[in-house]
Amino acid sequence: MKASYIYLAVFAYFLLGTIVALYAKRGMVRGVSDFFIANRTIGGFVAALTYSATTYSAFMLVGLAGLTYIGGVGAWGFELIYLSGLVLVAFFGPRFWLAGKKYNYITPSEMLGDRYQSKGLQIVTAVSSIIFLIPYSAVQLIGIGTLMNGMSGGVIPFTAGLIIATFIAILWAYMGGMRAVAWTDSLQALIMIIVSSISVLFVVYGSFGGFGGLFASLETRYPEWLAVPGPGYFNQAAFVALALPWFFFSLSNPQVSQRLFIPRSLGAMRTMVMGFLVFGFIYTFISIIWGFSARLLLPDLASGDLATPSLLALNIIPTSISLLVLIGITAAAISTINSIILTLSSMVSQDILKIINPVMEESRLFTLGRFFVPLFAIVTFLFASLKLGLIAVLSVASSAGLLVIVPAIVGAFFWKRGTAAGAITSIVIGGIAAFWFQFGGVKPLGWGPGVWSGIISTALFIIVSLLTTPPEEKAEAFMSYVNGALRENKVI
Amino acid sequence: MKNQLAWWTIWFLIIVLSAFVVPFSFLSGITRITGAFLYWGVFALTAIISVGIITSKWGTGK
Repeated sequence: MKASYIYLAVFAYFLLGTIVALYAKRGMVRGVSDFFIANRTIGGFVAALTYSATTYSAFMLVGLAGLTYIGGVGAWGFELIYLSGLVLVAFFGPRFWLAGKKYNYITPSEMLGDRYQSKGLQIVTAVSSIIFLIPYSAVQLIGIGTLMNGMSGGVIPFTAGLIIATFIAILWAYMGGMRAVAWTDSLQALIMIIVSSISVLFVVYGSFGGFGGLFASLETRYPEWLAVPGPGYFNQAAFVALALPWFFFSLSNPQVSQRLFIPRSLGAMRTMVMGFLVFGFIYTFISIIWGFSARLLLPDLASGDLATPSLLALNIIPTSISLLVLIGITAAAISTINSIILTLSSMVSQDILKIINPVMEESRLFTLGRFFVPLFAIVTFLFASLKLGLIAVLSVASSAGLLVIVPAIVGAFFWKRGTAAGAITSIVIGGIAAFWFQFGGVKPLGWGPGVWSGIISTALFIIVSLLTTPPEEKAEAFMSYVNGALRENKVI
Repeated sequence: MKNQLAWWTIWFLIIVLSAFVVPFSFLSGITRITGAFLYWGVFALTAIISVGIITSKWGTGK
């Protein structure tokens, strides 16, 4: 595809997004609550779309399609297990929202720090999120760079793709904070779902005569791709290692759990959850079909990550549609990146700077927090330039590292005996274990880093909590308030 | 209230656990679209409907 077409399409997307961001920032008030969580005023429809766009990244149409290409139906299973993990939002979403509104929490780590009465825990949670989310964001940038480079036949340098994406992510998040991010996410989510649906229909009806034809071809030519372990990639241990951390994604990843603070009401939160589930089911189906189509049409690719770019390069899909898919994937990546850098900046503002200097004025916190938006984006860019490994592997490593926050979150709402020492130990040691297992390639009993970091952090949280003194008064006040408010709001 | 929470927790434990186990055991020999693919699809739709029921009263309170 001509590089000029790609530049033009990206420019049109950038222009449209910037108009939306400018529209969204009209109501913005200078202040940390408005900048980072839009003052808890986001309606259900926009909340559903920003939740979807933040969650679903370039991983779906590139990484997940690639996993389907090499491993078959197991990719569908593990991604749907992730989707079912939204039941955690059904349990924890209203609790986050009610506690956030009552105590004016802006970040999930701020909530943990207050609930366990520990500034140390707040800082540790924020730092751990920063450490694990930078690689996660970097793989999104790598996805864009690789795709633009591949689709332009090498004319657009890898680094140019990174620079373009970084610039767009910075601009929208910096100019309008959560309001601009939520609205541009909404635009991007619509682009993602519409163009991917159109393109998959082109491929399926153009090449196989419909879904019946696609499935019949799969059953005839690649029957083992329709079972697990199938071609071998998805043996049970590998499947559990992939799926388990993803099941807890909605709680472990602060860029999505922070979104539990933003709906304007519990009704809006319900729209957010249900809208996301419908979006997620359709988008997962499309990504899987994309991978299966590549398997049938391009059986000899060297790696799964090439499935989508190679499929787009085939002449089955009109150039205009391929271009739209490229924009769809770029949108998926950018909407994830700018949500992450906004969340990380809010953590620096609320969980680090505010603790270091408790008397700092809000306007100063706002200015400094906002300054971290471009700073984190540039760090992510530098990390992406290192081009580390396979997209799916790094993405999942981040999930394993963030999983260690979950025991402390569950304990905050359901276990009065939980302590800050237990939470800090579980996050620090669990996080180190995730790093060690991932990068050292250590797999005791054949289980992956996600399983071990989950087990270790849960065990440490319980054991250390039982050996230390809980903040009884705060635990009682916090849980009584949340449970009472849940009843008043007919959530339980 | 506690009963309801417990029942939903058990229900989700069962269906999620089944999503980890059934395709690797009972369905591992079925190399058709009506095997693991269909099972996981039905599992996800069941989870979505269940979440729909759990959240149905949100926002109807004060």
